[in-house]
Amino acid sequence: MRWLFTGLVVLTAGSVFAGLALGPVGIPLRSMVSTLLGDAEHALTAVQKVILWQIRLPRVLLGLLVGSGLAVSGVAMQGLFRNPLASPYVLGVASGASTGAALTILIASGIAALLPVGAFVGASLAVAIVYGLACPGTQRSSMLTLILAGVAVGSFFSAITSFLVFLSSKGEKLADVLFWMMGGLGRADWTSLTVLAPVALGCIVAILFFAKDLNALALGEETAQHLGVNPVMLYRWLLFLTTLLAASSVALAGTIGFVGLAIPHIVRLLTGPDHRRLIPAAALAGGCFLVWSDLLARTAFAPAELPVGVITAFFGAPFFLYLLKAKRAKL
Amino acid sequence: MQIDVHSVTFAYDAEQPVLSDISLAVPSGRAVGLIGPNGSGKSTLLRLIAKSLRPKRGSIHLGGRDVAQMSTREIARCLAMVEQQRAIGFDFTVRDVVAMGRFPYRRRWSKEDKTDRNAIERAMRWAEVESLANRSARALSGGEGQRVFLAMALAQEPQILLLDEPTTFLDLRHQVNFLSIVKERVASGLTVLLSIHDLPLASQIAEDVVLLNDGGVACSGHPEQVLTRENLREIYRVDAAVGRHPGSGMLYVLPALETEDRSPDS
Repeated sequence: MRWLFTGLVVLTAGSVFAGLALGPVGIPLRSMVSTLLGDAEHALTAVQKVILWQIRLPRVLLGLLVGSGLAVSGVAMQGLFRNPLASPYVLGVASGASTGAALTILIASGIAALLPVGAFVGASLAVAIVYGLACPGTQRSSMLTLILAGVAVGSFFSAITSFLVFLSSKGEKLADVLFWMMGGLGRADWTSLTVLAPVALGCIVAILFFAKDLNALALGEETAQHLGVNPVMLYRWLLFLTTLLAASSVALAGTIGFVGLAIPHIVRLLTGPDHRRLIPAAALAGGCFLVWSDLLARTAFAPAELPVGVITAFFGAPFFLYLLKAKRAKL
Repeated sequence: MQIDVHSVTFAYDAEQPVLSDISLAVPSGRAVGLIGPNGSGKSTLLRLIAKSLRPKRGSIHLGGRDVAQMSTREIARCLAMVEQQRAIGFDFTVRDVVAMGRFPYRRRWSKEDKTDRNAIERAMRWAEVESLANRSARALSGGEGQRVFLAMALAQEPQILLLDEPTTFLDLRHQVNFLSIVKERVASGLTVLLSIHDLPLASQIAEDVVLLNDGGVACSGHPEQVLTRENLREIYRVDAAVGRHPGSGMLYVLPALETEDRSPDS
């Protein structure tokens, strides 16, 4: 297990450097090192410095945080629902955020800073409605009710989003809404990072705190209780933390699909089902995966930029299917 | 550790109580069998004692302490329960599952210490699942799975063990095997309350049986006093021959199929 974590940490560091170095303007690793060491001869040019600090570093860090956040909330949701199909979006986070984002783009398209706020409010509202309808923790069947309410509320919000898209017949806003829904890291800046980083890292650490309880929950809610888990408290906390984590990730990067569903499965094949190893490994793997996907998204058709959600699903899905076939029994 | 149930009433919804004003006691170190028709409240009673459900009225005490005042963790340290089998969410090994029995004793990040390891290994030996240790807990037969959950419960080092119809889905060999293991634990001091449909086996594992019907205790005492032809006719509405096997002295219950009138109510 130690080699796996060493490997993931090395891979993460490598992903960060690759994300910084590669792009339309190449920034050689040697120059980065030279600048850090104060070696003026090979140091970065002023333009390179601006690109590095104002564009690439925030973007790579956002990729790490969002990828980790989606992967960890996927792990938590799959553990809570004991269902391999669960993802961070089962409770309506994505559809709520899309509605919020679409509304913000239509009403206040001039104020870029409002977009993540609108998306976050939409996501929270959708989950609050789902939670209010299903009232988890009051009775045993509530988890199924919760999933069904999530599906229903999700469809309702999608309908509102479609209606908003229909209203915005003006081409530019329409494109903005669609592009947001496909997900991307292009809006990364230091301001949003200083908001997201403490929230995301805090949620991940807090979810890790419940790792052992998630293990016991795999045996069923009542068995877990007989082992000393308080299921009502566990559900409340984990639903709150995963929603906060997923909603804040989606608010800044749009509805990036697939990471939250597949990374937990892929990592589980490597670590086994123990959440104490699975959660930190998924955090690292999710971050790496999104940084590399973003790298591909912005270089493949440069200077045009693909939505990163296209990349995550286009490369992730076939790989996932391969694993499914090769190791079907383990999933 | 003694179990005391004091005039407990419970209903899943407002209308029909599942248990009404029920009282019973399981003395420390004894095995008591809960029998009765489907829907008579056996599983509900076990879940109330394990605090999976809360009584509407009345109280339940474990070793003199009111369960309403005990945390789930405190209860888990003195009481373990083997439920009717359920699916396992992820691909844990048999040993992983048994090790979860140490949950109430371990801190969040502590590693298994020597006490944990000993308890796990001993429980696996008692439940005869040592040879399955590295198998996936999802790829077991019914009998193996039931023994794995028994091992997990024993790794909890409980003083009270509740079993909810532990032999229902097992073949004859595994029923005998499972109950023999439980009986051995009772002989070394474990208090056991189990619900069971097989009446002759109930009479062998339990020193006392409690016959539930319509949410109350219809009759309780020594198996021979409870498992009478009259009680079976009245409560189960079944005509059965009951007696002792002349050679072994074991109690037998031989139900007869209804030949003419199929209505059990007549």
